[in-house]
Amino acid sequence: MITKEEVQHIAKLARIELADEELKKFQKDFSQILEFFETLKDVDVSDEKSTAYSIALNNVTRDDISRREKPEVVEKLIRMTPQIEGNYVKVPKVL
Amino acid sequence: MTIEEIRTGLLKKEFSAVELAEQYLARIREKDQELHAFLNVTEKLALAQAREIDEKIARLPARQATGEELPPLAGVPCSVKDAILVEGVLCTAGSRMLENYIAPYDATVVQKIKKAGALIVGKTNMDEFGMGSSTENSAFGPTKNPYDPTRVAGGSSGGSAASVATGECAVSLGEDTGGSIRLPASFCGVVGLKPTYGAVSRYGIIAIASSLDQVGPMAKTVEDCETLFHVIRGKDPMDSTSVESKISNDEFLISKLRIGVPKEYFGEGLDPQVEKVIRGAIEKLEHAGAKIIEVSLPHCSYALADYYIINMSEISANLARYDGIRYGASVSGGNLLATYMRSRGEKLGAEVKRRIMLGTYALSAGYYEQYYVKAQKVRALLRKDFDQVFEKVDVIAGPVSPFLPFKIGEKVGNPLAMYLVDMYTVTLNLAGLPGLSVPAGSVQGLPVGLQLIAPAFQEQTLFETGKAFEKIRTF
Repeated sequence: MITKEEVQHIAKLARIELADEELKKFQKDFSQILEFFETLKDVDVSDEKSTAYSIALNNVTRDDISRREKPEVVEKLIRMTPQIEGNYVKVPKVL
Repeated sequence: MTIEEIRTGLLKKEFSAVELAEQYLARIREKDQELHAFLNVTEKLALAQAREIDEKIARLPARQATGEELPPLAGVPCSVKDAILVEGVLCTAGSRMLENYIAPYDATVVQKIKKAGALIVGKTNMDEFGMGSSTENSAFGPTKNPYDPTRVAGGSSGGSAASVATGECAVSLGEDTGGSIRLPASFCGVVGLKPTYGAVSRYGIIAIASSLDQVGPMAKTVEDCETLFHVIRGKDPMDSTSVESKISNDEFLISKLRIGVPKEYFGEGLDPQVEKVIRGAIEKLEHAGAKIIEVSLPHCSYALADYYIINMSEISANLARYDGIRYGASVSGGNLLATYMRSRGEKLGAEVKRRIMLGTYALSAGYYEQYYVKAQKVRALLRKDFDQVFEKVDVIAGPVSPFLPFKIGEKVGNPLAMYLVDMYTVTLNLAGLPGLSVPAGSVQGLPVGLQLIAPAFQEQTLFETGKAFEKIRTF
């Protein structure tokens, strides 16, 4: 069984604030799900290479040149941010 | 109405595109209060697009009334899953985090259906960010099953499936990460295709698990699904994982078709009533001339655990973008860390938090090899299972879901029980293969879907098999 402190630690790593009831519920859920993940222990993969993609893909590259977006698109994207100042995204103080 | 019926009706001037749009919008008003397939109805957009089609038809010279100049989806009412961007329209992905997010541009698939003349009638309900198998995880409430409002529509593209089933639209664009098109198609009695990984561009789709996500068509008939697929498929410079696939023109003969039936798809956990419908469907294909071969996918029993490790790991990385700073909802916490934590803590739903956190755990130091690396290796074994089977058969047939559409609320408290619904669908996403869900029959009035699986980029085999099956099924 995963401990409450471990759940709290993962929540912090994932940048998610949890209420107490959530913490309790997740402790139970995580223990069940992680136990289910243990089924993979039985598989012998000693001859396998790790594959990240299901189909064979080659690297797709393009020239490293900037593509200018239309000002109205830039404007729209900027407007999406919760806090702006001029054309900048405003970030709260770090410490 | 089917795409063909709409096309013929427009060309014969039996109705105008505007009349058609109004008829479908009225249907939405009549049905959707109870059904809740839509999060947002785009009435103005649909009517404006319809007027353009009507003008195009008015300009067609009389002798060209064959419709060659009319684009392939002219006047076809289409709904779009709310994870796919339509410029200027709200795009919530079923989450409070994106409650007020207005799409700044069109997804490539949306550009394509617009160019093909489709009328976009609205954005459909879904499990939050596509995480779920019943649409109950939508922050805006579940979609009901059109065959029984006390049951789920399946998920995560439940709104898309229900909207097609009820005739609120003719076709829909869904998205499938681990069964999210095929499962609701099966539960709502419609056709749904998960294309091969890379067959359709994902530019402008709200990503969750990038090695698994794929956009695909949903419709009432296999033919309509096929038409929509050909409109949206192809390489896109904006999505480097997309590829241009070759379409085989080989003549399809059911008498030459070899169908593999994996014994692992009929094992523990399958409802005997569902099994009976699927076995019956396979028998019909056999009577029609197909050769049935029993096959084995030995690593199938590991697929579900494998899938969820990879899915959650990729989710934890992909959803880091919802930080309360760049876009989406923000809950101020005074400093930066507290703003991150509060925004995510308050605006993300339980299943999304669960997956981000378990993914974070699986990728963290000390566990990475044990979970993520191991899962990617098991994934390679699963692919080999399929490669070996496809040396002997052209398609694989089996159930989409192990059981019937379940009651709303039945599984929400138990995430693991919910994950089990995906046992036959996630394998294809892991292997990158295309899969089609076709209605095969019903049990106590509830639809059951047959799943057909083909080698990568052999969607055409699925369509031909599906169309052949539609002709011989009896219900």
